[in-house]
Amino acid sequence: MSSFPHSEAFWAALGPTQLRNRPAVEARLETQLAAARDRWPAVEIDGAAFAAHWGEQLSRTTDPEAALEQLHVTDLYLAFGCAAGEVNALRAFSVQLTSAGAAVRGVDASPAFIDEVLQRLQTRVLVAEAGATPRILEYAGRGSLENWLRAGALRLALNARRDARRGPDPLPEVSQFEAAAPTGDLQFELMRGRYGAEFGRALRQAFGELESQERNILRLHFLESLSLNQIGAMYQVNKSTISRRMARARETLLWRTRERLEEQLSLEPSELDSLLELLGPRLDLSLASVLNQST
Amino acid sequence: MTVSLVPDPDCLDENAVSRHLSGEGTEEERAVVRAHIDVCDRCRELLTALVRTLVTPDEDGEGRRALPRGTNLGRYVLLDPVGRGGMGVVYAAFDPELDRKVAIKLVRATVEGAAVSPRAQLLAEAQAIARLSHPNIVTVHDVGTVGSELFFAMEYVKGETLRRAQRAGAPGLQRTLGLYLAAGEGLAAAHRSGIVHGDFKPENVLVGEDGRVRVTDFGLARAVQEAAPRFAGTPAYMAPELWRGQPHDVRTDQYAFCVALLEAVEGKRPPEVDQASPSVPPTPIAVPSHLPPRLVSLLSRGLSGAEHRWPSMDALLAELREARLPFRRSTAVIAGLIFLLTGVLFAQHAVISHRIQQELRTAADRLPELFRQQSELIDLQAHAGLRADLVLKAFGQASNMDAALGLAADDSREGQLSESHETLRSADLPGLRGRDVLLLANSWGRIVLNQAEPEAFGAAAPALPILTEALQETPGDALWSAATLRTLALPLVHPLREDDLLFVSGRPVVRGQSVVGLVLTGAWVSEGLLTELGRAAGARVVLRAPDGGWAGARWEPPPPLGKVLRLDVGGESAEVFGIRLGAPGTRTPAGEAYLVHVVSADEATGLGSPRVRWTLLALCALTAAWLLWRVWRSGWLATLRTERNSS
Repeated sequence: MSSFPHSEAFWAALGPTQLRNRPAVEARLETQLAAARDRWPAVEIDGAAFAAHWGEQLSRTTDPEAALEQLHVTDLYLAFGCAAGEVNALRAFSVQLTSAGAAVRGVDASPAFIDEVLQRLQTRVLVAEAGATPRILEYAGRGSLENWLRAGALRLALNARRDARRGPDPLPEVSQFEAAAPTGDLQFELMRGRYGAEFGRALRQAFGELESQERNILRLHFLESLSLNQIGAMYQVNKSTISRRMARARETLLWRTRERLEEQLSLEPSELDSLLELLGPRLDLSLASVLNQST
Repeated sequence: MTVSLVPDPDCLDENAVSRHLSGEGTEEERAVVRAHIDVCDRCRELLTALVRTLVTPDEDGEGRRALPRGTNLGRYVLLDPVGRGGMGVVYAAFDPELDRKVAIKLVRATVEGAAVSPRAQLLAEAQAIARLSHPNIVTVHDVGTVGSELFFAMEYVKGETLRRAQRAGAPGLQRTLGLYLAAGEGLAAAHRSGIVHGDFKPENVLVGEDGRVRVTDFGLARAVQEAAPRFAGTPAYMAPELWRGQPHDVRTDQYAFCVALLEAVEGKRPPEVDQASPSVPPTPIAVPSHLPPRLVSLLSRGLSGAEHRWPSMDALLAELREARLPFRRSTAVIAGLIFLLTGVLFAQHAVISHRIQQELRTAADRLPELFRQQSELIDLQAHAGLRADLVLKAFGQASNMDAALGLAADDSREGQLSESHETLRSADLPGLRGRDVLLLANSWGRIVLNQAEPEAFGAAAPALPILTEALQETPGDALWSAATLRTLALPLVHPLREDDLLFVSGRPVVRGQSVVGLVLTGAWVSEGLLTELGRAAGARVVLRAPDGGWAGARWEPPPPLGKVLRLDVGGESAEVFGIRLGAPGTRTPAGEAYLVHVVSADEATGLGSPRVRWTLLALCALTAAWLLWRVWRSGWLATLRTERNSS
């Protein structure tokens, strides 16, 4: 017979599936379960119920075969334990919650805010509303439980901040172009005085015409101060890809700005060139200011 | 069941987010996330916040964010970042106390986890650098620390890096060498103060808008070397011994300088050091190269093993300065000497030839008077029936006069001639010697010729054997030319030098198969006249008839009377000035007479011969052409112009 004790519950929850090789699947299940138990030896849970939960998670994936290998069973096991109110599971959970809380620091570093966010997160995921299961059961074992919690914590934190602000109230917006400290570069000052406003407008227009992804990458980099590899992680692409896209976006931006300026100012091409030559290197700063105003 | 934390059903739930960031999603899932975060601000915000906590920003410079404008650093206020190097970021900054713009370099305190040298040491190092003061070194005003970073407040240089300067529109070999020469001066000055750069490369050299070249980032590489040796220096510019772990010194700077220079002039760097066997330096330059050989050997030496390099940067620069010139100094000196010598010779010749012309004219002016006096003397002598030898002499002189001046025939002389002949026949011929023999032969010849009937004077050539004998005893001192005697085909040839000058030209009078007489025409002048002329001219004076295959043959058509002419005698080293005295006469075949001055090579200090002079002049022309070509090819003039403009 099957070596996996709760195979019936598992298969029932999984439903009709292309997982054909039952003995192999069950052997795999057993190994993974053993590993999870090994990780959380103190956590006692109902094996059959967990097997059903497990099967259900797999049934929701498009490729159960791959999911079988990828599923974070250890974390799923812990989450299931938490949902069941298992004491040791809850103890382990609180450790993970604390570590997820570090992420909130980026939004607001005050201990009170972090405590509040974590409190609310804990309530939301562990406490079942009437007639429902605790939301921690929604953790599907895809990605680590810690990241899942982190995402939840951050979302709560961001919502809280948004509520607190009520409408965008960005930092004091003065175009760096118009009000930045004098650079001591006379020619630049002159150009800025004469064409700063037009340049800012043209840049803003040109920015608006970029593809949304180009806009976002620039925004993330120049406004959010994300590094290239962080943006890469967000888009799950290589850092060099981001670097290339960003370079292209900047080029397009400068080119379109030039076109706008050409339309708006009746400048000789050579004047235009020298204008851009002066202002171009400060594109990053100007861009940051434009981004601030347009978000 | 709804996922309650998610505000919008389309939004990403925590499962999707955590799966996405853990990199486990399928490509389709990723595409969905990407598309979503591009349109959904909230989810993008969430991911942004998550990524910030999950992913450490890379510190490789590119991804690093610049400090914002307005940041205070010590007393300085940061403006914009102006550059980024391996060692840190450079900002334009403002120094409110001195009200000036400065450049601030922030040096990273850590290099991928490896701590740099203790701060005190780093500071000490930096202060040593700050003490460097040289036009080709970026002045460091101030050194300080801020947080974990070290900063240098430096002279703000408006311009570009040497890398860009040499990339932008190929500045030309001379300009490139000029830039490197200046950069090298900076390095050399630092070396003299005991400071090693440690990371010389075109990126660390600034070329200001004022054209001044300044080396920057002295010692920074070395300062961090202690803790992170592999970050000390830029591999392409690192000398082989550095790979073996030896410290930077002036010779490794020299190596880096040469790599950069080679890269600038040749467009490529030498192959990188083979790290497996770093003791062997790579072959620096592909041969053949279009570069000046001197530059090639300079670079080869700079890129060789440490012990074979130049003893110092100064020595290298001295050689570079030389290599930059279109030609060697010694070449210029030699060329100058050639020009000078040629000039001196031509000037000397001009002076001499002017003097000779003056003298010839003076002499020519005096000639008619002298001739007249002689003629009177002869008439007197002949009339008085003086001694045979004197008569002979007189005849000789008279015939010379005829020849020389082409005087018209005078019938009254016929009688005199007959008398003379008689005198000749009875004269004590064997007693005659030397010049008298010649005079005799000449006179006789003239008689024969003038009478056109030699028989009328009795037996042919009574004096011929005597003549022959006498001529054999005649000293070859300026009486005959070998050429003339050859023309004469007489068996009386005395061994003579080729360049002996002849006063006469002559022809044998042939009757049947035998020579019956000797006609010597032309330039017989009395010793007194010769002496007089010579004194007047201050030189040897020659009256020469042109018909004997002599120099006179060169003057065709005949030059105008009285004009001083110059011609080359075919000889090796003589130059003849002449003045034509008279028109062809009726009685002598040697109708024309010339007063001639020969300038021998000896007179013109041995180098005065026209051949030598013209050869030298040709050499000058070639030398000048070669020099000009070298100058043009090296672009040296353009450099001078630019340097004058910029200075």
